[in-house]
Amino acid sequence: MNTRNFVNFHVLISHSPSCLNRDDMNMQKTAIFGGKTRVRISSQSLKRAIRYSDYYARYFISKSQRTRRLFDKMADELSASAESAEQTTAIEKCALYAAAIFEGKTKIDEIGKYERDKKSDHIETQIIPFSCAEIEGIKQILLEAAGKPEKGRIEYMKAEIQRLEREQRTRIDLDVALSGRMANSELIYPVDGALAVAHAITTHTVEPQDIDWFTAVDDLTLDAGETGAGHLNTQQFSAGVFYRYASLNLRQLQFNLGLLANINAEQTTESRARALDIARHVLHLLATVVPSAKQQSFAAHNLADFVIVSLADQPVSLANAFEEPIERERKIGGFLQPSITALADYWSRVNSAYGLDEQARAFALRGGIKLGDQEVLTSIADLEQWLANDGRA
Amino acid sequence: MPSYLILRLDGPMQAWGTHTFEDYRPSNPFPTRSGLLGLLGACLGLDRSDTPSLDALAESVAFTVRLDTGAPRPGVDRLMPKRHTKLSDYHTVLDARKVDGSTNKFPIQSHREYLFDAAFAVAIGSRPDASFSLARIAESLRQPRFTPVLGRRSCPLGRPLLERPDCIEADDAKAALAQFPPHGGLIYSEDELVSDQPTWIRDVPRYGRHRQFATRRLYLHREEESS
Repeated sequence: MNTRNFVNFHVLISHSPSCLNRDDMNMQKTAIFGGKTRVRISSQSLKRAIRYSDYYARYFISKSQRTRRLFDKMADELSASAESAEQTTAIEKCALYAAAIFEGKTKIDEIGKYERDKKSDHIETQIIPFSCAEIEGIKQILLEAAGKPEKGRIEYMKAEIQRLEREQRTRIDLDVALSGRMANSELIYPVDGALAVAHAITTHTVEPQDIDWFTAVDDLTLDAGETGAGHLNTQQFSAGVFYRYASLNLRQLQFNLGLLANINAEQTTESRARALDIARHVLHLLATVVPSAKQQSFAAHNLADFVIVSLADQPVSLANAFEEPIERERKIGGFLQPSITALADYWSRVNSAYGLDEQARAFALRGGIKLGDQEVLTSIADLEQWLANDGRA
Repeated sequence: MPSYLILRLDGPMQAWGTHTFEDYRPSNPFPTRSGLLGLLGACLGLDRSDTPSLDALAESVAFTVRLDTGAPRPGVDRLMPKRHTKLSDYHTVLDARKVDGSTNKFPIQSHREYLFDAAFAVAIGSRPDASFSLARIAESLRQPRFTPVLGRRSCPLGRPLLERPDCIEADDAKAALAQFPPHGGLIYSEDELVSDQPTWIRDVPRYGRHRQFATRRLYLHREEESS
């Protein structure tokens, strides 16, 4: 089995004029790199755009739900398919017990006395984030408990919920497995995200940045014969070729998903395949998702022009390919072609200079470009397939 | 002769967290001891809660850091000039979780400092009775377990960490670093060096306690740059 632990994603994406990420002064975020100013899209901005994208929702659906009324909803749903009035009453009671247990009640008589909220008449708790697997588990426990005799029901639910929660500590949702979870309280289990996303920067200098001077006309005063504008302002913007880099730690991902007992445990073919299947979607997201800021005014909805994916022992960014800023192509102009050449060339140089033995493949919109001695793929789906197959065509 | 591992910390952005309060996240101008131990611990696959191992690692290594004014690039003869700049990033967090688990309806604003265009060379020396040998550390740097970063997760490595696959020998850490260009530059050393400016820094992690740090003595040494 392939033991290379990291997936390196290198993406070049050319954005038409836009202002995709700003600071508190409404200025474009920038970086100094190689002593020159570049436009920057911060890591947090990229990650948020990815997490809130439609594609993410479609493939990484197991996002947690934060709610006060999980047990209320569950009682309604389960009662709807109940076969008798007794079963409905039992379900209702069990939902109240579950709410009491999640509210931190431990004594049997306290749990038994838990009531609906006086004002709303709903079964409520504090807001608690529940994972999808957790919700399924609770539902099963509720159904089981409702089928048991009244006596001993609370004890049964207490024990079962405790067991479920113990299991949950090692099973977390995919979004948390990728992005991680900070915890400064001992009550919350911290998770190191498997995905590390760098700030995207332009491969070339952007100095000075463009400024759009704009006005808003006031329709009513215009009708009254006034000629002045209702509002004057400026907006900084620029166009550029951005280099995005992210790395995915396959072991960390398997560990976070409960597929490895610890970070040093042996991977299995199945657990690695699961991680690589997630990796292919991460590749798609990095190649297609663009932050939403100012997009109503600029609509820089651009897709990746060039992508290198590698399976490697170390997570290494190729940003230094652009440390000396890319110069415009002399004859035809543009930063994209020289950026692609520089990135592909730099990958080969780094790989041989440090003896990295990376397994890599590239995608480009246009063929005729080589990475190492291999022709690029011209369909992003083919590159995704290559990655899902653990670097086999 | 003592042995040293030579590391290069080189990437577009770095951040070596120091004393902080709430949402102001400053960076130290050079890698902290806590940051470097975290980097090695990550490569070795030591869990945050495994305090005996973290303590053992801390007792195994001594760091000497050099602030570099240039960095080598593969296939290029001259050094790439490095003039590090500290800039702050404006960061907002939406739907943040409050202590009671509820969602904060206001965004949290945070200012985080980064070192742009910075490069450091680090000599790792072995302390007496080290339970983590330099060879074992080198092995883990070639195949890290947790993801190694330059102080913050959004700051990836711009090159592999190890300058040489194995240990090198030198009279002291300063001499070890001197084998690798650029020559000269400001050195922050834990060992007493000749003609130095001692200072104190509170960056020694105390594992098992909540974000507590002890102080250590640090010797500053500047050598004339020679070309």
